[in-house]
Parts: sequence; C-alpha cells; structure tokens
Amino acid sequence: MIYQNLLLTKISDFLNYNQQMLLTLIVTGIACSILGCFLVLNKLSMLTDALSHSILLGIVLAYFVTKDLNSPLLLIGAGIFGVFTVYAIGLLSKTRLVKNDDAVGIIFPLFFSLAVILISTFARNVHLDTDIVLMGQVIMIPLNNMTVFGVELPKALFYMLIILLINLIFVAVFFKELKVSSFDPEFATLAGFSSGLLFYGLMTLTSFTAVAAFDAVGAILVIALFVGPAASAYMLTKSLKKMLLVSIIFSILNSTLGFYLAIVLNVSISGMIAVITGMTTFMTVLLNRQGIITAIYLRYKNRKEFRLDLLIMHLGNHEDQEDAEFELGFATIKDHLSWDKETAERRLNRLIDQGFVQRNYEKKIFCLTEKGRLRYDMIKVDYGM
Amino acid sequence: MSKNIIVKVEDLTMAYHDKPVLWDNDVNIIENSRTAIIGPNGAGKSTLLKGILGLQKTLSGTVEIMGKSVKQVHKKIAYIPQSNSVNWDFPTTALDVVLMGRYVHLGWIKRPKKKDIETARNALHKMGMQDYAKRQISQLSGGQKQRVFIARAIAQNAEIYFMDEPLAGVDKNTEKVIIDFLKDSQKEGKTSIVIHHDLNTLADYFDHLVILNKRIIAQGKMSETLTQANLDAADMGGGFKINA
Repeated sequence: MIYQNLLLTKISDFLNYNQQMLLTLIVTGIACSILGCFLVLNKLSMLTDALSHSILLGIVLAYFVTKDLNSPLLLIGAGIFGVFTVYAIGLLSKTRLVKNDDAVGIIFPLFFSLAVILISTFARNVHLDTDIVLMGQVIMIPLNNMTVFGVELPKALFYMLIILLINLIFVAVFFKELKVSSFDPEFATLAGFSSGLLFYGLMTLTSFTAVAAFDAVGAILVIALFVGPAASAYMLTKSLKKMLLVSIIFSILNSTLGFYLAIVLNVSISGMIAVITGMTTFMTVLLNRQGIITAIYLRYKNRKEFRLDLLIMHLGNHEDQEDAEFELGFATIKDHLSWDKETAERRLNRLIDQGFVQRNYEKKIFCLTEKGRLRYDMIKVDYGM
Repeated sequence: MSKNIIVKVEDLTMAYHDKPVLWDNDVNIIENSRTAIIGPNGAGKSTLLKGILGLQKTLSGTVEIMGKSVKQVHKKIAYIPQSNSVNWDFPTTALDVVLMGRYVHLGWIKRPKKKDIETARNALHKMGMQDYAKRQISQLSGGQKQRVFIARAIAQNAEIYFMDEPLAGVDKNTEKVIIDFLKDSQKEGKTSIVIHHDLNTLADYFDHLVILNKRIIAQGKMSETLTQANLDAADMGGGFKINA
C-alpha cells in the first residue's frame, strides 16, 4: 500500500480545486470549439442544440441497461444515441414533409422531454436531476477523481483530454477534406471525398464531445462552447487555420473570465461562462470588419479623409493655373473653399505634417510636395477622373 | 473533328418529389466540342448537369462518360457550379480554392505539395488573377469569383468541363477570358458542356447545342440545331429571331 502511494501522482499536489475546474473547462472549451468551427461553417450550429438535449435520453436509456451512473458505457451509449438523433433528423427532413430546421425542432424536444419524464418517473433517487442537466455541476469536478497510469486526476478532466486529443487528430488528419466539403460539398463529392462520410464523422465526434462535456458543464454551456467562439472567429479571420486558432483563444478567454467572475459574484459557473461567451460574440458582431461600430468609425474616418483629399485636389488643380495666387494664397485659400480660417488652417497643417503640402513663401501660396502630387494622381484614379 | 461521343446519357428521368423535372432524355455530347445547353427557366438544365454527374438522384437512365461510370473517371471531370452555390464568406483565399482542384489527384489525407501550389498559381495566372492569390474570396467581384472557379478546373487538369451558367453576372472582360479559355481548351482536345442563357452570343461561343425543356427538343451541330422552329418548340422563340 505504501509503495503504491509513493508512485501515485496527485493532480491536487499541483493545482488547487479552482485550478482543476478551470483546466477542465478550458480543455472542454477547446475540444468543443475546434469542432464548432466546422459546425458553424456547415450551418449546423443548431444541431448541437439538438444533440446536447437529446443525449440525455441516451444517458437515461444507457443507465437503465447498466444500472451504474459511473459506467463508461453510459457515455458510449449516449454518444451513439446522439449520432442516432442526427440520423433521425436527417431522415425526417429527407421526407421533405418538413424542413431541416423544423426537423431539429421536432426531434430534440421529443427526446429531451421523454428523458425528463423517464427520470422523474423511474429514477427519482438518482442524481440525474434536471437542474444539473441544464447547468451542469462544475463545482463537483475536482471531487470525482480517478487514477490513470499512476496519476490521480478529475474524471471529467481525463475524459475531456481524451476527447480533445481525438478531435485534434481528426481535424489535423482530415483538414483538407473537411475544408473542401464545408466550402463546396458538391465539388468535394465529385472529387471523391464523400460529404456524407465526413458529415457523420464530424457528427459522431460532436456527439461524443457533447456527451462528455454535458456531464461536466450541462446542456446550455455545451451549446455556447460549440457555437460562440467559432462564430466569433468566423467574423474575424481570413483563413480556416486562423479561424480554428482564434476560436481556441476566444474559448480560453471566455472560460477564464467567466469562471473567475462566477467565483467573485458567487453565481453558477456554467451560467456565467455562457453569459461571457454571449457577450464576447456580441462584441465581435459590433466590432468586426463589417460590424456596426466599425462601420460608423470608418464612415467618420472616410469623411475626414475625404476633406483632406478634396484639399489636395484643390491644390493640384490650381497649382499651375494663373489664378493660383488667389485660389491657393496664404490668406485667401479659405474663402475659395468656404471654410472658416481655423478649419482651413487645421486641415492644411495636417497635410503639411503628413508631407503632402508645403508653403511656397516666394509666391505666398500653398502647394503640393512631390508626395502630394503622387497622392493627387492617385485620388484622380480612385475617383475615376 | 472526331465524331466520338464522350458523354452518353440514355433514358434519364429525374424528379423533384413526385414531379418529374426531366423526362426520359437521351443526350449525346460529342468529344472535343463546345456544347451549349439552353432552355427556358425551369427546363431542368442544372438538374441535367447534376444528374449526369451523379450529384442528384435519378429515377431512371444510365450515364457513361468516356465509356465508363462517373466514379471511374471523376478525376477527368471538372464541375464549375453556379457561383452563388457556395459560401463566399468562407475563410479562405483565392489560391486556396484553386488548390482544391489538386485535391482530386491527392486523394484522402495527403497534403498538397509545392508542385501543386505551383500548378494552382499557374492556373490563377491563366485566368489573369495572379495578383489576387492571397485575397480573401469574399472580397472578389462576381467575375473574379467565376475566374477562380475556372482556375480550379484548370488546376485539376480535367478533360471535360461542366459549367453551370459561367457567364451569369460577369463583366465583359471576364466573359472574353472565359470564352477564350473554352476555345483554347478545345484546341488542347478538351470538351466543354456549358449552360448558356444569351441567345445572341450562342452561335459565336459554341459549336454544338442541346435545347432542353424538360425533354430534349433538339441536339446536334449549332448550325443545324439553332433554328426558329426548335426555339419555338422549346417556348424560347418569343422575341428572338434567327438571322438566316
């Protein structure tokens, strides 16, 4: 016994309870967001909603078979059931009697409510209660430990690490195939990459990830983890690799911020992370390249630049003309532009600072520098003159 | 020009639900031709292409390309879909999309090599798009998107091009680039099958014609097939007169 204890490495020797929870949340978040990117690109984000709810029925049914809440068979059963859900939704929408979105909306409430009824009827004494189903039990993570290869660590952390590893390998190995079938499924099929095979591969992993994550963080946060960081990254990035990377960064940020805020405010950890995820996604909507705030800022900046362009045009047009001394004169230029003295000076000074304009003291006029004339030619091209 | 049939379609019927879109069609595409497919809206032109390529279910009929099934010769077939059929906000660059043409030859798991990237760059260059290689695809114009799609087919080095309205919504310059490409491909021994909608340019751009309106109205050489009687039979005669 003593010998064994000497060999045992306890994760609690390195990380306190809070750190163990946070690490588990981060690992879960990364595992979800790398798949989430492909779900978002394939417009399948609502399927995660269906999955995260309907796997509960899978868990309940598997529990009736195994009679053991700690059995790994529970996770496998639920994972398979998740794939079945996706298949059922696909089958229902293939009848063309209902649309795909509607099929999602029909199948998952049915499975979820069946599960709730089964729990409340037959499994009242089991800790499968509905609050936990929705919000998870992050706080319990460090209390459920297991020992693997001489390391004692939280069970949820171990499962999520395995899932993360599988997901990473899947995406790394099939990166090219996932990319082409997400971008142009018909081309992918013709090129010999069966979109169906990739779809069910992706869905199987999504299902198992959802089941494992569900146990730790609940049904609602699972959806947020899958969709939020991926949707944010989608708005910000130009390449698929960057999208994956940015979604991971978002995911870590959301989990860390949400976790510590929840501790400080003493509220549900899952709930707070979901809130922060929603908020960062919303901020991205506002601030991304085509976002609302960016558009307002750009319009303001453009207007300012437009005035400066106009000034350069004025200088360029009149420089070699006979009326230059009036049009561009130190004292008279403002009248020709109908600007007040201060505005005209401010704008001219700015252009002088930028090296586009200089003062010609001999003729007492403003004129363009070499750089200014280049800019003048460019503006003419830009505005089609 | 050889008279070999390169794409042979027999008794093809396709349906949406229970409503047939294409009725029992026999289509023969001549090797090394520039064949246009025309027909009124809802005639099933796109459906026909997808049916030939096995992208949509058929109710009956057989398709042979170079005497084999589509699956057996898929490397030699390039499909250029309508440009609005994909998500142009996808986070990827023009070069990357063209590189997908090489995937066909790579098969599963293998990554594109330097040589593949070189091929893709050359294909972009052929379409006059070399300066846009690193451009995100959402920032391309309609004509540029179409050129990227054709560059992808060039990178694939296919023998037969299936194009779904490649000239829809593109600028005059791109239209010329695409037609020059079709003519050059023909000189290299390739075959193109193109859904077209502009009757005015039809005879200039193509040498063979298929007229479709749920069933085949007529097919064959342009000069023999593009007649007022055939257009009228396809409900396409209104407002257009053949200059005899």
